[in-house]
Formats: sequence, structure tokens, C-alpha cells
Amino acid sequence: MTATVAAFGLSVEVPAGWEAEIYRREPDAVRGEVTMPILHAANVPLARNRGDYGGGTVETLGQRGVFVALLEHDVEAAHTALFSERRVPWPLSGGEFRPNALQRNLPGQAGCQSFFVTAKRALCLYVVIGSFGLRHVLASEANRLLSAVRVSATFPVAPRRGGGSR
Amino acid sequence: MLALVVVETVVVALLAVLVVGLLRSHGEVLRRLHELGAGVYEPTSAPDRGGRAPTGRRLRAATRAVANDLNGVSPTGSAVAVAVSGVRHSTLLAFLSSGCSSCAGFWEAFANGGARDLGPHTRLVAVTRGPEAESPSAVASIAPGDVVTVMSTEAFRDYGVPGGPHFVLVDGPSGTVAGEGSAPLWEEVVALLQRAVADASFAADDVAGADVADADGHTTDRAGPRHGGAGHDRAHLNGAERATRADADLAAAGIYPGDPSLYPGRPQQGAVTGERDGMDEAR
Repeated sequence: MTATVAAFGLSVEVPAGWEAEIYRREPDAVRGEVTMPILHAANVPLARNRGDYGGGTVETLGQRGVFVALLEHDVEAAHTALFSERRVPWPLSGGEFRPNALQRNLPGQAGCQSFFVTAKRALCLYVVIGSFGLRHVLASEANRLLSAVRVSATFPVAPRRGGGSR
Repeated sequence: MLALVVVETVVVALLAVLVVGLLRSHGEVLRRLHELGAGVYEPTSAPDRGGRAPTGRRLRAATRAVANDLNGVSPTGSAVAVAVSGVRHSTLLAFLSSGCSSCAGFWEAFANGGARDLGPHTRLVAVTRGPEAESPSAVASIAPGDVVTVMSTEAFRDYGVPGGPHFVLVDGPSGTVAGEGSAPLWEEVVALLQRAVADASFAADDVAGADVADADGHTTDRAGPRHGGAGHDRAHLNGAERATRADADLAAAGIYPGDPSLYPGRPQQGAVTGERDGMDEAR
């Protein structure tokens, strides 16, 4: 049975063997922080405590592990050059993965990152695979999840302000 | 004198009615408690023949053997899906409540690193009923920060859990319920789990070797599910899985294909990284 995870106008039908979480980090009120929705998914257990770019989970990927993060940015960012791409970047190909595209370099791993706008929302896709050598196989595995991701324009993109943690 | 006898008779009759009423009430209470799963702490006397040792109470029937992944929300409002079947590790689902007094000890044990007692191949996931039945803030205040906690009434329903505390061990590779039950203390749950794992390993050895007859001359039934729990047995792996696991273990130790340490008699060659990438690419 396929589980559907949905929140904040993002949803994904989670393939067997994958797990996912859609959250919005509790902002730091003192710093006036603004937080936006984030979708995490992986074919390994998602660590309870992890960074927005997967720190805490990417270390456990193993050779066949895949970690996917979809991070929303302020709607104003949609009009910047960084977010000029107007289509979702998936399906991914193995050639898009580079060992030097990681937020944190780990031996053997590779990553890819894309910035784009869809449904009037500015999003960043960040994917880490456990083995650069297996990038073509693992890109297909990532696409298995990404093909089931939906982004809705109906979500009122109101930044969250406040204090505390996720 | 006659009046005294009559009064005593009436009093005895009234007391008899009272006792009968109390017994009926007691019976009703026991019946309800039984329906709610009470009386689950008495361990059964022997492991069943499927290699699946009972935990606090008997294992589910085969019709309940398929384990469902979890889908719900976290205490902080995230939407979450947790995979328990079709994965390499086992998962111990701890069905708890934020309000029940018997659950408090388990939350405390989890906060004190209880998950480490399960070993590296078994993941602890706490499950409470959904936000419509539990206070998310109460669960958030009691759930340890490093233990995945899912609020899902659906999970209680899927696993037929009447109430907490209740534990279900899911064997990830086979996606089946390997055992379930309860105990009053976390240490006892861990002990029951270890016993189940040991019995499962015993069954695995039995599968790998010759037929084993018991004292009555009956051969042991080997139909139990594979077990990947705290004592995940490498004997379960096939050749390709063993090779993958060996690669992973070596990689974790910083040894990749082409590493000179793998060829002690051979003179050292070019850069290990380049060789590794080339070999991985060729697979």
C-alpha cells in the first residue's frame, strides 16, 4: 500500500521502501527567522534530527542510498535569475550528479541541485546518492520518488515566524 | 430470639446478594480488561516451532503477519511516512500514549537512550494515536528528540493494538510481524526481543543445516519468517547480498575496490580513487 504524505501544498506518494517527511522548521523568534516548507525523502531511515540538506541522514546512505530534499524559498526569489527555470527538473539523469555538488563532501557520494519555479513557488531540489559509480541506477531510483511529487499553487505561501525547533 | 434469627437471616441474605453482585462486577471488570489486552505479561512457556519466540504474549496469527508502513504526523505537525517493510533493518514499534501511567517508564527509558539496547539493526519507532485522540503538545513534551515518533490512529488499527504499552517487532526484509506483546518494563521488552532474535537465529541455523528432530522425534518446522532483528543473521543473505554487504563494510572502513591492502603481494599502483570510480562504473 502506497502512503501519501501531504502538507503545505506539497505531496508525495511514497514508494515502497522509502520514507518521507514534509515539515516547516519552527522559526527562531529572537532572530526574526522566516521558515518555509521542506520535503525530505530517502530510501534509508530518515534520522530524527537532521539538517535541511540531509545532514544526519546522508552519512547513513550506503552505496544504494538516495536522499531527496525539496526546499521552498521566499516567493520573491521566484523572480531572480537563480530561479529562471520554469519547469520541474525531474526526471534526473545520472550525468547530472557530481561528487563536488554536495553540501557536505562524503567519500563516494554525489549530488545534484536545481533551482526552479513551479506553481508560482520557488523551489530547490537537492538530491544525494550514495555512490557516484552507481549514479545512473540511483538517478532512476530518485526518479521513482520524484515522479510522485506534486506541488500545489493553492497553498498560501505565508512564511512562518516564531520561536522553537522542528 | 425469633426476631434475632429473622434479622440475622435477612442480613445474611443481603450479604449474599452483595457478594454475588461484587463477583459479577469483578467478572465483568476482568472480561473488559481481557478485551483491552490485560494479562499480557505472563510469558508463554516455550517458543513456537516457527522459530518465532513469543514475546509477552502469543504471536499474531498468520493472517496478521503482513506489516504496514506507518503514515501519520509528527508531534510537531510534520506529515510523515515511515517505512518498516521492504527495508534491510527491523523495526520495533512502541505503541504508547502520553497519558497512560504504564507508558511513562518507556518514554523515560527512550529518553535515556533505550534505543541503543536494540542493537544496530533494529530501529525504535514510537507510535501514538493521532491528533484527534492525543494531544500533540503532550506527546511532543514527552517524546525524546532522537526517537522517531509517529501519531497515527491508523497504525493502531492496522496492527490491531487495543492500547499502550504494546510492542510489535517488524522484520524489514520480509515485511512481516516477527513478534508482539508487552511487558511492564523496558528491560523486559529488550530481554524478550533478544530471546526472539536468538530463537530466530536458531531457526535459521536449522534451515541451513540438516533436519533437527526434537526429543519426541518430530522434525522442527522451518516456516518462520526471516528475522533481521538485533542479531541480524548474515546466513540469511544470498551471494549477491553478501558481496554488497562486504563492499559496504569495507567502504565504511575506507577500503574500496583496488585498495592496495586487498592485494598484499602486489606492488602498489595508481590512485585508488580513480580506480574505484572506474570499477564502479563498469559494474
